[in-house]
Amino acid sequence: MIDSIYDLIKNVSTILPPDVEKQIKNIDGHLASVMKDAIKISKDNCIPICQDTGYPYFLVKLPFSQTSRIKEINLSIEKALLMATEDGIIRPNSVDPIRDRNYGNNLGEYLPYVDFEFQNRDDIEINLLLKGGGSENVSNQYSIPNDITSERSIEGVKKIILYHLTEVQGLGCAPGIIGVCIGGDRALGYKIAKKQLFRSLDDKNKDPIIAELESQILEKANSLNIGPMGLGGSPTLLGVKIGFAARHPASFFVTISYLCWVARRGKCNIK
Amino acid sequence: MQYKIKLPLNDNSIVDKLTVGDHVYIDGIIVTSRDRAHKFYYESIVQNKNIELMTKIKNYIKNGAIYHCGPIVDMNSKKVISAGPTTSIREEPYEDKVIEFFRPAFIIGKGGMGIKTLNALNEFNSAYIHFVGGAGSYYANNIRIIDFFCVEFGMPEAIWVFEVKELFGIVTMDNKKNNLHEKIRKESKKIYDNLIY
Repeated sequence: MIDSIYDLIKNVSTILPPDVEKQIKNIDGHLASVMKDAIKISKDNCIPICQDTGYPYFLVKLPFSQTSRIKEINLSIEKALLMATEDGIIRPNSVDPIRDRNYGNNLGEYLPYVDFEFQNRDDIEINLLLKGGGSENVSNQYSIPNDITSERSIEGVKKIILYHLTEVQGLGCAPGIIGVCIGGDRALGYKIAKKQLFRSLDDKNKDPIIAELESQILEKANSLNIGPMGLGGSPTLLGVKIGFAARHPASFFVTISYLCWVARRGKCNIK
Repeated sequence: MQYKIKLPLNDNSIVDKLTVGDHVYIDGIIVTSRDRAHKFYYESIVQNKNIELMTKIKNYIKNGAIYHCGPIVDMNSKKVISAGPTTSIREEPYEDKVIEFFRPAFIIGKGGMGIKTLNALNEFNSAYIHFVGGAGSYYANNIRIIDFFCVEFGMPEAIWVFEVKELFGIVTMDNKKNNLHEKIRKESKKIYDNLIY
C-alpha cells in the first residue's frame, strides 16, 4: 500500500490531470507557453510542476467491510509522505505555528490530513489533492446577507462568487478552478467546497439547476478580463464545481475553495 | 518591449527604461526571500542587529534582485528541483524598509504589491517583475545555487542565492508608480458592477 500511495503522490505532483492539461493547451500567449513548458518538463523528468506542493489532503473511500484497515491506511500515508518529502517530490510544508519551526517532513500536529468516506464498494480508493498555500489563502466563506448582497438565493450566490473572484484576482495563479458549497455550517461548507475540486472539468453536475449555475458563473467569470495570472485577458477560470448542503434557517453560507491552474489531483485503488 | 537583464546591474538606467507590460529575461544573481526572511530582515534593520550577516546578504542583493520564492531543493546535492514565485503581497508590511536597506534593482514575485512598495520602487529606483506562478519546474531548469543563509528557517523559507539563466518575467510595477495590477483590478470591478445576471 505504501508504494501505491508513494506513486500517487509522485504522479499528482508531477503530472497534471489530462482534463486540466487539455484546457491549458488551448490558451494562447506567452504566460500560457511558460505554463505548457513547465507541464512538459515535469512530465518528462518527474519533477514537481509547482514548488508549492500544498497541504496534502487525502480523501479515502472504502467499503464498510474494510474499516479495520483505517490504521494501516493512515500509517501507509504517513510513510509515503515521509519518503516523498525525502525524495524532493513534495516540499516540506508543515510548520509548527507555535514554535515557528518547519517539521521538515510534511507531518506534524493533526497531519496527515485524511478523511474517510464509507461506501458500498469493493475496493479502497485513495484520492489526493495537492493544493498550494496561495490558493488556500484566497479561499473564503461568505454569510448572506452582507454588504455584497442581501439575496438569500441563487442570484445572491452568483454575486458573491463573482465578487470573490474580483477580490482575489492575481493571487491564486489563474486560470484556476473553484469548488463551491452553498449552505451547510461553516466547517461543512469548507469541506464540501474543497471536495468539489476532485471533480473532473469534463463532468456535468447531475442537478440541472446547479449545472446551469456552474456554466453561468464560468461564463461570467471569463468576461471579467482578469485572465491568466491576473494580468488581463481570458480565461480567468477553467471550471466551476458546486455542491450544496442543507442550511440552518438562520444561516446562508457560500464557501469558495480556490484551486490554481496547477490543479493537482489524482487517485489510486487498492484491493 | 523586451529586455535582457544581467544582474547585478552595473548601470541602473535600465530601470528607467522599463515600463509595465515589458517582457524581461533575467540572467545572473537573484536571492530568494519569503516570509521568515522578510521578518528577519525587517527586525535586523529596525533593531540594527545581525550586521555581519545582513552585509553578506546585501552584497548579493544590491543592484540585483529579491525573489519571492520557496523552492524545493535537494538538500544533499543543493540542486534546485522546482522554484516558481510565491505570492508577494504577504511581504508588503516589510518590503519598503527592505528595499531601502538592500537597494535591489528588482523585486520578483507574483500577484503584485501595495502602495508602500510602489512608493519605495519609485524612491529607490526599482521595479517589480512578475514571474509565472505554478511554473516551478520551468524556472528550476535554469537555476543553480551558489550560496545560502538561514537554512534553519526550513527549506522553503531559507535564503538561497541563485545564479539564473534567461528567466522570463513581466514588469507589472515600474519606478514611475505604474501598477498594472491596480489597472486590471479597477477595470474588472467595473465589469463586475455592470454584470447582468
